[in-house]
Amino acid sequence: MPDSCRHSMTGGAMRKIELRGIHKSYGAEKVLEGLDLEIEEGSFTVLLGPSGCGKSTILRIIAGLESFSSGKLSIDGKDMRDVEPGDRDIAMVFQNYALYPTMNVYENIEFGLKNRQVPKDERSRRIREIADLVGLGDYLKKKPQFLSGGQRQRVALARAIARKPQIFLMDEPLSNLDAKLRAQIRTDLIELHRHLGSTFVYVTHDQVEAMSMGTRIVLLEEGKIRQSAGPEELYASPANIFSARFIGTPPMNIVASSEAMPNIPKDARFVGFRPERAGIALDPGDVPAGAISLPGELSAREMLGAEILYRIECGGQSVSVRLYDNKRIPYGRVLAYARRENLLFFSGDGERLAEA
Amino acid sequence: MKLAKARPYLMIAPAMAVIGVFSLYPVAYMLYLSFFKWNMMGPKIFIGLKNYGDMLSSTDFRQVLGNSLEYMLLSVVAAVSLSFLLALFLRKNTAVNRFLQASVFAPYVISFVSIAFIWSWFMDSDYGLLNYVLKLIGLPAVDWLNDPHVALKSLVIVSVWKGLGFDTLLFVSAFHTIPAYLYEAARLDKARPFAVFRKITLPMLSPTLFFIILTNIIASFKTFETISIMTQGGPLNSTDTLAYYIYQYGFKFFKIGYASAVGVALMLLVGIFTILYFLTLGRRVHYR
Repeated sequence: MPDSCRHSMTGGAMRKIELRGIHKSYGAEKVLEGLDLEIEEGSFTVLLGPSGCGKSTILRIIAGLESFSSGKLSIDGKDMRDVEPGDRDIAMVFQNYALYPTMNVYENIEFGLKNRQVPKDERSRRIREIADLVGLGDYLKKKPQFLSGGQRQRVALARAIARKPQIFLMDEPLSNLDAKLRAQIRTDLIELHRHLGSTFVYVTHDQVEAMSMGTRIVLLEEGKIRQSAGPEELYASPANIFSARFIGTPPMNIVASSEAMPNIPKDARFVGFRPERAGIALDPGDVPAGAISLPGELSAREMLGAEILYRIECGGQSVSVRLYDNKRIPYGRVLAYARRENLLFFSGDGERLAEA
Repeated sequence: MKLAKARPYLMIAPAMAVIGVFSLYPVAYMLYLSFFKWNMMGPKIFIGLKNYGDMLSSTDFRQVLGNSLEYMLLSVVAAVSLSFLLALFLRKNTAVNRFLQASVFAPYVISFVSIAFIWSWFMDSDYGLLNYVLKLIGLPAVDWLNDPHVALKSLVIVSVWKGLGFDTLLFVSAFHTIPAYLYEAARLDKARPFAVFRKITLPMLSPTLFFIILTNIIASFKTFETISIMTQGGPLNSTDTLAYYIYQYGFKFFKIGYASAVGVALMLLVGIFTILYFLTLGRRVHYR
């Protein structure tokens, strides 16, 4: 990105978004019940969760496209209740891009600027600058229907950037792209966020997107925040079984605690450990001292290049183990084990227990 | 091999035969007859372009042509604007709106002949419903069908009333195909209502608008039943349009050749309007 461009896009106050006690329902179905959420200025905040968790609703409430029955939304300390979406200094990238089909790329980007009475010279300068930035320079005269999915995505992004908003809202913007393009645009978005320095709020159900881009991840389930943390913390220290299982591929192993496990807290009902923090022993004697071990049947083996993923059936519970040793362990009876320091403990209702 | 090549043609042959017999042949025969003097019974006498010459020098024909164009213009403008406004009003899918839409649509399924009779009574100068209502609210009575300055407009009212439900239905369904996210994007882009209408709603509706205008133009030139039943072309030929004029010359005066010549003129007129329309507005239609 050229330096001049960087200067023109940063600067100005960054925005902090606050939601307090937000209630929202569609008919009888309650989507959000007293949601409290703070989004730090300049952060890349990802709202992550399975479909129906209310993440898109939150985004649309911030945008002003969705009403809410009670609670308060403020941006920079200012109540947004009566502020029109167009006056909130936000831009949104929609899942299906929402490009105006009757306008060409240039006009699509220009529309929001025109409506804000940006002078013509300034508009054309900004559009060309941004078109070059996102690699659309050659397509300005084309209509969206003649563009590929990736190009449309870039138009949607360019349209958002051109307005120089302090807040970017993105609603699953990568979900209609193929895997390769997704990975590429992920990197582009990280760079963009760093260059612009504005607040990004990004909705996705894909934990890889959340982990790779987010500086903060808000994990939601059924309209409630299950955990809000940086990606490292979310991965290493999940607050509950939902968090533990949602993040990571394959997810964290959660097994029922038993008498046979040495030295675990007495109120721990479930024990969790990451597949890469586990090992496989062929013989009980090979299990390190103090580790918990689960005898089972090695049932599947996936060679992934740098690592091998094993699946072990331990009496009704299946355990994944990831080993960075390329020597294949033969199918048959084995023991999955995890060292004491790699164990996380959960109560019966799935909440994480403090370290004993 | 030969059969395989011929097969598609064989498959469409029945349909082509129907089109040939019922569309192409009558048109060709009309063109042929326009060069003859014939009263349907006696011999056909070839008279070259005389029918066309008579037609162009006839003051009646010029009046009829003027009537037709006025009728077309009025009915297209009224039908398109009213159905559009109505659709704007009815586009929300509620129970009341569904009922209203069905009510507006009802006249469309009634035959034009029945409608013409009903409206003849409505528009009767002395005993009609319309004048009764006007009198009730203290307005002067209108000579709906007997005033040469009003009669044509009265017929436009009837045909617009009949077709309104259909055009509204088309507009309503077109409204529903415009994705909501476009309007959301426009809200974030701070677009004013007029800009939203001009840049999103209108272009997205343009194929429907185009279709409705075109079908209304064609239908207006073909109007016959209301004229035949309600005014018989009168008063003072003020409601005599091309279709009715052709009927009169063909089946009342038995001047088949002359009627055919006017038929050719009507066909050319509709053709020219259609082509002009495609060349001008048609270019601006956004097809998805």
